[in-house]
Amino acid sequence: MIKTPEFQGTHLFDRLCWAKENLDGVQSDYRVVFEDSIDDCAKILVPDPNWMACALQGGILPPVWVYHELAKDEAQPDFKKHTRGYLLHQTEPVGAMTEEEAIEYLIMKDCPESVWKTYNEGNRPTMVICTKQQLPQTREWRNAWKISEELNIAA
Amino acid sequence: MAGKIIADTLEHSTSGSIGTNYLKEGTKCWLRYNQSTASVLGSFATSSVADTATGKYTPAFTNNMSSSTDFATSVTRQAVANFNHNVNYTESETSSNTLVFTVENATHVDGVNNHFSISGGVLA
Repeated sequence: MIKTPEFQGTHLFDRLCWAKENLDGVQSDYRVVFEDSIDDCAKILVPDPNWMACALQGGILPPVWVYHELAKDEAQPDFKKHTRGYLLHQTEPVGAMTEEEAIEYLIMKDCPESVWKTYNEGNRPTMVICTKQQLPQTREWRNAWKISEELNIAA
Repeated sequence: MAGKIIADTLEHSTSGSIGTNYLKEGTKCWLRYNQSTASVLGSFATSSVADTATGKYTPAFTNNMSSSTDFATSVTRQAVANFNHNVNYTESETSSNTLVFTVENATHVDGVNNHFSISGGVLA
């Protein structure tokens, strides 16, 4: 396995360029199904293979809290432009993750916080991790897809 | 051998010169996505794609843009036989993701070869 260069302080974009050049993409079978509005159909998060390769390799991606800090900045009413880009580039990159840890990271990065913080608190789950084989095999009635109310979620 | 070149200008032998800062505003993220199978065919600097509904998907960026307005998206997809008013557009843009729509004859449809890219200011 190729060794990741010492990347602390390297611009994230440059780290991603290195990864694109040196790592093979990893197609994950995992999918994250979530609902962030009662009026909308279920959404399905598909991990990017190049991103997954970075996560499994380690030493490339910033910790997920960095994205949360940037999201907080963007949520301010007077937000115009990010001023804390150094968080992405200067924070020590996270180490190698397992595929399951990478999916957890991805949920906290790309699913709405309101979903992953409370997905198991209502009458039925609003988020489920599954494999792509467990999803409907055709796109029929795609806009009516919902997470089953009969699904059992381990506490 | 690792190395570093510091230059403000690139000069062509006959076509003039251009500042290297144009690289700063070049393509920062791209994606080829088959929504029919919900699979990523190729990409750079995207972390995931959310299959949002028929003809709607949301690429998320690994490297945030500098703001929600400091970039432009380009969205195309494969040619479709007998189509009219084939439209692709984006909405709900933030510095970390954007919602993409693919429309054919005024109806949202899943594209099998969606192309998406972003040019502009990546967060420095």
